Amino acid sequence: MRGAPWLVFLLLVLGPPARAGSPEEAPSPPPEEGEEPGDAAVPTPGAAPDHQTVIQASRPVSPDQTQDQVAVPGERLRESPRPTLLEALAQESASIHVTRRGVGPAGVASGAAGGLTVRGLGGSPNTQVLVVEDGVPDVQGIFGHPLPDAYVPDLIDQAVVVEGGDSVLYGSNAMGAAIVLRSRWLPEDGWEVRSDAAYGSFATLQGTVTALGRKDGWEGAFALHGMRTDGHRDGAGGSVLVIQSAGRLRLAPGWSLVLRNKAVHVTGGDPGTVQHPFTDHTFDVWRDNLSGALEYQRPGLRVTLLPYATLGRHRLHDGFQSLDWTLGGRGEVCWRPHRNWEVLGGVEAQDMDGEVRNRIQGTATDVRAMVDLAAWQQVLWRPVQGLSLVVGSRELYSLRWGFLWLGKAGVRWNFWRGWSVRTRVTRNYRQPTIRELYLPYPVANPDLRPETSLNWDATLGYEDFRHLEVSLTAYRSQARNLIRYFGSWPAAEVVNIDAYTVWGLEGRVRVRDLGPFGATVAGSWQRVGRYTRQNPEAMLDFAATLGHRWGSHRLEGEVSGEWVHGLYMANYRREPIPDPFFLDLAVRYRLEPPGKDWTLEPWLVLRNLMNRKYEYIRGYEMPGFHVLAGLKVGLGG
Amino acid sequence: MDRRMLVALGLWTVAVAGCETGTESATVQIQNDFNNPAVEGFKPPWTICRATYLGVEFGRIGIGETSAPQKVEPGLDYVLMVAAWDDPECHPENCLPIASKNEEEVVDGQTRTIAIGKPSHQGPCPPEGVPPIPETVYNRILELYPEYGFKPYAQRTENTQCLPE
Repeated sequence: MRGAPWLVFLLLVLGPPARAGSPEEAPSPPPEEGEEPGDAAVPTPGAAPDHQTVIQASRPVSPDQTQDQVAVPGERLRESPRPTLLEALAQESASIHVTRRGVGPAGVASGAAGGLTVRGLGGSPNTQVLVVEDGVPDVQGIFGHPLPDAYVPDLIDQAVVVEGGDSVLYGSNAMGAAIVLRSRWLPEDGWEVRSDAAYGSFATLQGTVTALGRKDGWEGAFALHGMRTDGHRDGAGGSVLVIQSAGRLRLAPGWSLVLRNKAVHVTGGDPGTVQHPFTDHTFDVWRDNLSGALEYQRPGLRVTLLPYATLGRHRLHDGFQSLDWTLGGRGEVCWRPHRNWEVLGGVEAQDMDGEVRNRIQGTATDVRAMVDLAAWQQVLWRPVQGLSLVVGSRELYSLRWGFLWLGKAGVRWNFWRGWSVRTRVTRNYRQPTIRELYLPYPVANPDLRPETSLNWDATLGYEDFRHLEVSLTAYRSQARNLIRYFGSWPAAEVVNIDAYTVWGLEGRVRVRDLGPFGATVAGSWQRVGRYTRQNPEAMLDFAATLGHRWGSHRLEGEVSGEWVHGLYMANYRREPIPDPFFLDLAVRYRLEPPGKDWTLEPWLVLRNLMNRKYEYIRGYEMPGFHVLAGLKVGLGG
Repeated sequence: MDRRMLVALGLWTVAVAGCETGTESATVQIQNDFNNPAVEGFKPPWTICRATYLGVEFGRIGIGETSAPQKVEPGLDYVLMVAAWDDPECHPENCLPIASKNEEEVVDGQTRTIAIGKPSHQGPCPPEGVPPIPETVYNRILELYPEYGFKPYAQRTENTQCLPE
């Protein structure tokens, strides 16, 4: 085994000749700006002679090529053995840690799971990690976090985790990371219906129906997802219902209008620790996100107007009830004046407000709206082939605390035969939440200011574009003005005081299409100082796949797992949790008869194969060995 | 742009990200909050006779009073105290070892007043609503203040002040 590192080194250096540069600099003509998948696949009748080559390409989900990102295709998320989207994303990157407590909904409030930590920032609630869905920041207006149960992969085209965050492009909360989700459309005229139903341990029943269509400039996408489970413990059950719909109309050459809506209903409870279980700590959450987008695009120019609104209602067992709403809009221009330059600029306005009352006591707590305005700019320059430089700036004005400047600068250099190096420094922020400003849980402070962070990272990577992908990243996140609670009632206080620095390393090796074999291993180590609460020192995520196709049949199996080390329930290395480790096995058989427009795909997921006892949250034991079996049926497409 | 410029840019980003400042100290005051009007019901008349937090002595703090500010090294610890029941003069027979209910934290650069009151303390006697003090915390107080002659943890409820009159 002593020769193994040298073998890997030789493989990397003497690997098969790679395409020059990164995908965006491949020798083929660059894709037109603003093209969605398939946008260019259907030439305008009469406009494109037969001999012309039509280039089909996707617009990058995130426009900064110097950032450190993990991009995951929607198909992979849909086939993941993990029960939630956030857990599926965590499997792809060893710097993402997600708290879990079982197969039921992650939930909200005390005892909730779904807490996200990326590169030492985040935590519970996830106010330092932002989720952006089709350009719309998804933030619960009062508590300032995303709703972990609201994300289902049914209509996702691609998910990108921007590690290190990017508040210049995404605004508040993109401090430790931004998770950018893009929904899919059909790439060409036609229709597609997919149904996926499953049943498994703990009376878990889940079903999804998706329907997509495209014809004569009209496009539609619809998904209905439902899940209910008894949970592996009393009080751990719950249900999730997600209804998504979207329509796109091509108004005139270059113009399109999009309307989206997503409604989510989550019910469940906090089962409490195994030592002090609850059966009545229930929650009931409704959420609706509505957005529209008017877009104009022509070669070298794209203009987007995107108004959005979200409305949410949280009801807890103790009488708490909140209604929160966010109204916002953004306008963005992406202009490529020269093939080596790309300029991005935008403006955004957002109003967050809500009301809070106790249904049992009949009391209400007064809160005030948070309004902020922002403008941002990003310039990408490619002085020579293979080299990209990005600088960006966001100017933010809040009616609450005034002016804040954010910025970033990054470089990416594809220097030799698939080898690349990149580095970026970015200044991010998160605004105080309405809860921190006004709600006495246990105390509020209307004078709070935003938290800021200065994040740096650098990556050395290699990709042969066929079989091998390797990267090693060093990062440093330095957060300032952290909002912290001290003391307890009646003398508690919440103030901007703390500072925090985390250093870390993460690496990723991916081998694909080596005959029937593929594998991914991602590992990370970080020095988190005293901030050890749900902020593990080391993580290892791995997956190995084996697939075989014969005729119209395909059989595929995947073993995947995760090991987490240095996990604590409190800061200062208090309340250590034994290293969680588990293995899952997923098996899929796919029947795709030639010439037919239907597919059948029975699948089986065996979770916690070794029936290990482990937990991510102290006292919340994860389920032992359990099973989920399903059948996926596809029509059309 | 040549490679030297790129290296310089990379070093600059590291340098910018690496700037750190910090005094590594915090300023703390301890408040005797046993008369807080927000707390309903009986208010125990504890005078704080001695108090130590993160290794720094804060001295005597009468009911409703606040100690002088002291510099401490940032960290997390219990406030370890000797308190006298209804006795501003702190006679040893009226004293007991008590501690803050939770470990209290201060961070670099912070100025914090830690309030010790009815809901935020723990002690060795078993009055209603006061959590029992852990053995390690109790023993730390005994080590800090041996002159009070408190009984060992196993006999903590037999301290003079604990006994019914």
